[in-house]
Amino acid sequence: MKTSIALTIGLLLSASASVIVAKDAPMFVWNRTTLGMVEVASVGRGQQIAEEQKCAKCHGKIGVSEDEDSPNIAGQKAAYIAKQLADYKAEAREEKSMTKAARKLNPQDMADLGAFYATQKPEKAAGKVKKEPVLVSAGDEKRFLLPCGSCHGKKGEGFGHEVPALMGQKGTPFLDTMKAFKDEDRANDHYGRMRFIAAQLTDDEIAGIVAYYRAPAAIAKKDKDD
Amino acid sequence: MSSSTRTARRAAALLTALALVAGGAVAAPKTEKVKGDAARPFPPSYITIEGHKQVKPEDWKDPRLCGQCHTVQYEGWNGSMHSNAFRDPVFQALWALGEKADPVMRNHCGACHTAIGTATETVEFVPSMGVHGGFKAPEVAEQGVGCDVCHTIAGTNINKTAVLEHGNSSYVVAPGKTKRAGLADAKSPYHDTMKSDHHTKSDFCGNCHNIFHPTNNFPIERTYDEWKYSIYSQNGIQCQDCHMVPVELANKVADTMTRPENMPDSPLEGFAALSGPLRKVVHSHGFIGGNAVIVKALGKDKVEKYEDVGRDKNYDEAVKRLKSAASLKVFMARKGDDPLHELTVKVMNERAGHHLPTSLTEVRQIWIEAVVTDDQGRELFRNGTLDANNEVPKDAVVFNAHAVDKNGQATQLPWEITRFTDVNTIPPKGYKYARYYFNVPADAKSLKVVAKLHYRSFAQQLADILLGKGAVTVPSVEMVALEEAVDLQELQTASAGAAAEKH
Repeated sequence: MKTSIALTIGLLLSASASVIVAKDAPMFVWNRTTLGMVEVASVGRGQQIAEEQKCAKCHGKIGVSEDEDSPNIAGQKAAYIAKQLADYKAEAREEKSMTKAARKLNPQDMADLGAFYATQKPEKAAGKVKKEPVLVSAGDEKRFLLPCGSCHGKKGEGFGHEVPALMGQKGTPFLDTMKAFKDEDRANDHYGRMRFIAAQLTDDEIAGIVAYYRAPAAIAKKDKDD
Repeated sequence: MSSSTRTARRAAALLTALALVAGGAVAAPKTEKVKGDAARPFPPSYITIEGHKQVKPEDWKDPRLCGQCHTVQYEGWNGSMHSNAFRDPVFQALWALGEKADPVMRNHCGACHTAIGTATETVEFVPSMGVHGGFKAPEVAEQGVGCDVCHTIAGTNINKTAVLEHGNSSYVVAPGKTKRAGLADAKSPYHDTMKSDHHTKSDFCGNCHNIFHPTNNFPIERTYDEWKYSIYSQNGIQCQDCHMVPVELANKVADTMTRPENMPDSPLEGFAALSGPLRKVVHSHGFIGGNAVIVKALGKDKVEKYEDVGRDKNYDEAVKRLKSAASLKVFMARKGDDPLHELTVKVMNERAGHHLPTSLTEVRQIWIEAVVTDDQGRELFRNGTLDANNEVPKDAVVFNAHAVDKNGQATQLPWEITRFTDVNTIPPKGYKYARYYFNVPADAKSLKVVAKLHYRSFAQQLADILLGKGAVTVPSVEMVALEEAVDLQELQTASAGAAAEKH
């Protein structure tokens, strides 16, 4: 499995890039069992777990965080949340506080949490960037970059069970995530898809994408700080 | 005619063909362009473009774009013979010789090996490439049978072909946003989708895996025909059922004559695309047969950079397929007290839904190696062991076809072929025998018989001519081996009993 992933990551690289080797971490796999947990997940139980685990402390009561550094998870894809929790628990995604929290959860707890936050109303995008960046609307086929919307949805609302919503994300964690993919500090993306994409992007291009999708509260706060 | 004689004649044929090439008997390049018309724009191929549109290479997507959502499929395709269909240096060299002999060969070969290059007329002959020249094309055209080539095929031109059968690139291309495949409910945020039953059937593959001569219509590569008139076809087993699944499953298909989708607990369950629904059957896209060995031969089975990804897997899978395709049985006989013994080797095509070998049967080599030793360690018989020049010995039993030109002279150049004077390939679920004779010393008490079946894509001599002497050592794959002990006393008793019964 690990070899397969490493190879596939390699195939997604540009001609000048070298093959990336995936981190030595167990990879969550989508299959009939894991998808089934998401399908039968309970919103009510998810809310109960969120309260017990005090998720609101960082992510806000309904998944809209009150500070700039914690990501919004309201309206996020349920399956995506469940997978991230599984990856934190397995340390396939590194963040100490999240790993500590995820260790208390079983797979169905994770799916239930995902179901709860997926049904919450997300923050809207900033709306300050009037025009879609070219990478969002058209991509750049010369660099084998598909438009962001072709996977993440036309409005950044996410797609299917694997692709997360981007619209309304807090700016700082969004930026940190893109940089982590670019620097290969984060490697829990199946087939290295996001690592490949982020590696192709300049810092300015990443900033442009983040500015387009980010939530207004974050901008307002940042503007205030500035 | 005995097997040995037949094989010796084939070896002579090979030498004749090679001598012709090496001696410069092939004419200088002809430059005139073969003109087509609206009904057949790229003759002698049967490619047409939907709506008679003008197309350019950019109308087809680079497989590396497709691979970002269809990653599993890309990984299977990359390194496959489909991905190497244009770049394969053995093909390039043979194609170059064809170009020099007759300009129609550019489209005749190119239409399947680079549909994009042919339909856009962007293939260029480069005399300085390789030993005999080679071809260049825009990058997406050099990617051979890429994702967008197959998934934008909109129909077949079977009714336009000279033989009214699939073959010689008898398909309609329709590059654009609509991608066609077998799923009825596929949805993509990037492209439009259309269900195509054509893509799910052998008929689709037959558009290229069935090749007849462009002027005399002689069937040179008959893979589709071989399948069509086989028990596989009678049971509804399609090419895709074996060549788009892992070898272990392909073996089950062949053993049970059951399509993968009809098997319980489908081992092919998975996702056809990023974030797509869970599917009962997701096909592999390596389309692996036996010829991935070319990758090994060229030393390109290592994963060192992105272009190489998948290549090692394709080679391993090809070897596994070759090792599960056939079986052997041996029979020993002796008449009375005569020291002359007869060894019979039966070779069965167990799991190939076409002949063994198939495709360019005048080039492929499947042969038997047989060695007999006695209880005192004496080697009594040996046949079919590669010689010091990495060649199959002239007296070996080889399963292939013997091709000749219009003058009856042996040839391995497809454009010269007018007929096969002998076909010794093994049909699906069929078998062939090879018989050998040797003397056994009177003091021998038992024998050890070792029989092996070997495969390779082409002879060393052909590789030397096409790629340059020493450029590559053609690898062989041991498909199957069998070792049996023979008690000579028991054999004599059994033979005597059989003789008495006969009388």
